[in-house]
Amino acid sequence: MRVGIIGAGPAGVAAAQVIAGKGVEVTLFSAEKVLPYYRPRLPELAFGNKQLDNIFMHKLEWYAEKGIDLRLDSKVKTIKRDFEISLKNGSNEKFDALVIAIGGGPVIPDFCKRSSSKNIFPLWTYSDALHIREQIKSNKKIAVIGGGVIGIEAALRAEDNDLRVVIIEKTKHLMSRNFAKHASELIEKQLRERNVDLLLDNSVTAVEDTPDNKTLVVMEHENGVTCNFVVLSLGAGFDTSLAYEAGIKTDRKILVDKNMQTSSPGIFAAGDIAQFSRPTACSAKESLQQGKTVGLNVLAYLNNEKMKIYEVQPVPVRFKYKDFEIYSIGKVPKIDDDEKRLDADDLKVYRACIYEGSVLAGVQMVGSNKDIRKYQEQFLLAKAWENIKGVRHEKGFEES
Amino acid sequence: MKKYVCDVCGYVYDPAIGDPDNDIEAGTSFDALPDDWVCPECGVGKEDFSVED
Repeated sequence: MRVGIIGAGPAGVAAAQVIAGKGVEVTLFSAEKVLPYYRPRLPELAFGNKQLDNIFMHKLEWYAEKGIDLRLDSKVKTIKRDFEISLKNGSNEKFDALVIAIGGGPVIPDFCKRSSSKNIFPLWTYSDALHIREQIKSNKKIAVIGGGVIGIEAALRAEDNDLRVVIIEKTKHLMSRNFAKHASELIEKQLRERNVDLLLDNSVTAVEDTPDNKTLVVMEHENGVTCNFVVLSLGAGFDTSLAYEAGIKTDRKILVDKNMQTSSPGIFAAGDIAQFSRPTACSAKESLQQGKTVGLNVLAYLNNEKMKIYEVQPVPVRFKYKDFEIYSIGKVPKIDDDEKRLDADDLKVYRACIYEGSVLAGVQMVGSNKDIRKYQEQFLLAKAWENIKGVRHEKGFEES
Repeated sequence: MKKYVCDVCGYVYDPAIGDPDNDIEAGTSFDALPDDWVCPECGVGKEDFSVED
């Protein structure tokens, strides 16, 4: 029997590792030309001082040793519900089960599509990171469009390389979806203290290269910013066409049930492309766990055995770079919410527990992630998210 | 004592520093960390760490 795994991020590789060596042939398709790697390491690759080899999940030999047929530069163009897939080189292959683990792609806004600038770089793939690495050798000023975690990490690392950095963000406050207003303000203060300029509440309308070989970022409310290159970090978008065109149920991502099986039996999805009833974030850690579960469930499917249930839990937003630390899970406090500050008089640190009645419904930290583990465990144990809108426990589409 | 790097996110566990945010004292070797210790940056377990070159 043969299993095809489409996408070689953490979810795809973890699934392959579980399935391989169990009397099943495993083929792992990657659209990229380099060995599978951990995406969270890309900012380090782009802005770091040394060439990173340990960003790769495994050496090339590992795949052969495990019996995984790794196909690089092999983008899968279409799949069918009878497990036949076609590749971009025109060949077709037939399997007995499929796993879709293609992840997401960078959001490319219209102003970029219209722009002819050669100095706009998303930070999404290995080759993107290498492009940026080339750029920072000779350049002095960068603009980061999008103030999420990746944008902040890019900015902090760029600043460490003695580059002038400005983050341009369209919302009034950084990370406002995940942090209370005063927490966001502290994040902003700490970035400014680290010489990162912020232009908030400002939409980019165009990016143009100038005759003197610079790049001008034009904005709605402010004078343009001139820089040497632009890093784009506006989050992830999801291409579900692979599943949709095969008649598999999709929403924003590809819908899966509690076993991580799509609406088409024998076709599973895992990692950032998989969606329980509503779209939620999926970190590398969850992707690894989902990949393992899907691997086991593919084997169960092929052997007609009972499948495992994947327990969905809220995923924290967490980031730490040197002494810059942020963490958020669960409910984001509003003005009226019962918020218990853990470091009342410390102006450099904001840590808070958010309660609904006596139940811990959310945890926020800026400036120090002290006792993060303790509070996260308390939060997960309280299971308050099961009843809170926005952080509700997600069930598979069958039950919804 | 050897430093260990998180394969997933690049966090470096330095025994000389420990993980004070999670009650791991300075001087604790990687091997001596509790089995349920996780990467303070991305949350993966000890099995996803390798020795720093």
